[in-house]
This record gives sequence, structure tokens and C-alpha cells, in this order.
Amino acid sequence: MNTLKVTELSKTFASKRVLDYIALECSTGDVLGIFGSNGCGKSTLLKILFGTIKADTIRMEFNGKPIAVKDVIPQQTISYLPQDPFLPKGLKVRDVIPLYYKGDLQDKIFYAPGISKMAATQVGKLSMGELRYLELLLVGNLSHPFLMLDEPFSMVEPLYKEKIREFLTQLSATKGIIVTDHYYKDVLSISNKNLLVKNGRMVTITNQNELAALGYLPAAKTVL
Amino acid sequence: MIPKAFWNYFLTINLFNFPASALVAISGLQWFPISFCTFGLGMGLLAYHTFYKQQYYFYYNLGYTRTRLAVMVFICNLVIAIPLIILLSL
Repeated sequence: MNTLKVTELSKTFASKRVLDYIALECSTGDVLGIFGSNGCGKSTLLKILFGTIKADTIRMEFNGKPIAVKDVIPQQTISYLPQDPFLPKGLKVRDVIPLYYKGDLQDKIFYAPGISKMAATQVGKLSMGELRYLELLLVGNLSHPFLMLDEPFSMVEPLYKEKIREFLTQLSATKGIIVTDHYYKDVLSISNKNLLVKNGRMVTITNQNELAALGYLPAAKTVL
Repeated sequence: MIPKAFWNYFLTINLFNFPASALVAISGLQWFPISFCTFGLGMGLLAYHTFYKQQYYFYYNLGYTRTRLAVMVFICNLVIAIPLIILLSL
């Protein structure tokens, strides 16, 4: 059981305070959904936790012990699926997988549903859904205790969405997962804790109606 | 053992480094190995940052920071350049 605790996280861009002393906690078994309108700081938050953007202030604890954000990558504490594709486009899928995994773990990816049919395809020629699914499999199967996903459901066809939901549900047994996406129904279907970023603060929410009440969804959605 | 993933980064950096260092070598062949570890390498890193910035996440997830990757490429290039420097000085 691993726990990641973040407190006093703040970030200002120019004169705009995007994240205002926010706190969150994620443990093994948790799927923490983070919602918020465009530009509210969701991706910034994930990048800060991963160490690729510097926060103004932050305190981070891993299993009760302080951890410097700059050590997150070298210590392989969190794996991260960024919003934009990150795999080398010129390589074939079957050549990319061995760059990440060896032996049995490599087989696990090759034999995952849907991978064999794209093995001979160049990464740059995959559809958005196929690419997102492949990236998720590569990042999700790493041994890091935490996984952060920035828009894993965006531009993904329903068939792959289903595979992604199943995969994340399986993974949550051994990892803590933080996921942010505007496809709130997909996120809510797998998450057990949810937060909304609003005016730089984190608000705990429990269902879709609260997302509407807090202005993230149009009010009509609650009636339907 | 250096993981396979690193060689992909190494090759991409040196794909930019090689022509830059070849240009430097116009003023004297002995400058090629020196540029290969300095100016050319800098050009390679700059080009990677410009054209493939997003691919750094590929390496971050494997535990490599940008600094570590750059240092590893520098060391590998040094291993290639030193024998060349000696050879060209004979």
C-alpha cells in the first residue's frame, strides 16, 4: 500500500494564481478523478507532480516521507501519460515495445487486446485511439506505484474507451491512479474519489450533479 | 548496461550533431571530434528540444531526466571522439 500526499501546492502564471495552496492524497487502490474547465490548471497540476513544471510552493510525501519533486522521475515514483503523443513516430509498434520492456513484460504488451494487429504499423500512422491505447499500456504497465493520466479518453473511439476503462480498473488494484479528462462519464465510471479545480482551489465532488452545481457542466445535464 | 531506449535518443541527437560538426570540420578536420562533444552536441540538444520536445516524456517515464540523458550522450560522444582526436594528431 503506497500513499502520495501533496499539500501547499501553488502556482502562478504572470499575475494569475492558477493553483492556490491545494492539497490531494492518493493511495494504492484509488482512482482519483480531477475535473475542471480548460485552462484551470489540471495539466499544470499533473506536470508539477511529475516534476516537469516548477511549483511556487509544494510539499510532497511518499509513504509518509518527504520527497522532492525533482526526485519523482529518477526514483520512478509516478508514471505519466501526457496530453500529447510522446512516442517516437518513426518507429514501428513492435520496435517501441522492447524499448520499454524486456521478457515476460514485453509479451504482456504484445498479447494485450488489439496490439498484435498494429504491431507492424509505424507509431506515426496509428489512429489517435490506437496510439492513446498503446501509450497507456506502455506507461500503465511500468512498475511505478502511481500513474497519472492527462486526458486518456480524448479522441478515443468507444471500443478503445472500453478497453482503457477495463485496463485502469485492473491497474487500480496495484497502483494509485490520478486521471483528468473532460469525458467525465468515463472518469466517473472508474473513479472512487473526485475533485474539481475551480478558481485555483480543489472541491471534492461525489457525482455528476455536483459537477453541474459547481458550474462545470450545463445545468440541463442534471435534469436528464 | 545501457538500455535500448537510450540509443534511440543518442542516435537522434547525433543525427543533428553530425552535420553541424561536419560543417565545423571545414575549417580543419581536427575540429570534428571536438565539435562532436561540444558545439555539435549543443546543436543536437537544441534541435531535439525544438523538434522532439514531447518525446522527452518517453524517457522521463523510464527514469531519465534531461540532464542525465545529455550527460550520457556527452560521455558516449567523448568515447568516440578521444580515439579520433588521437588518430588525427598522429
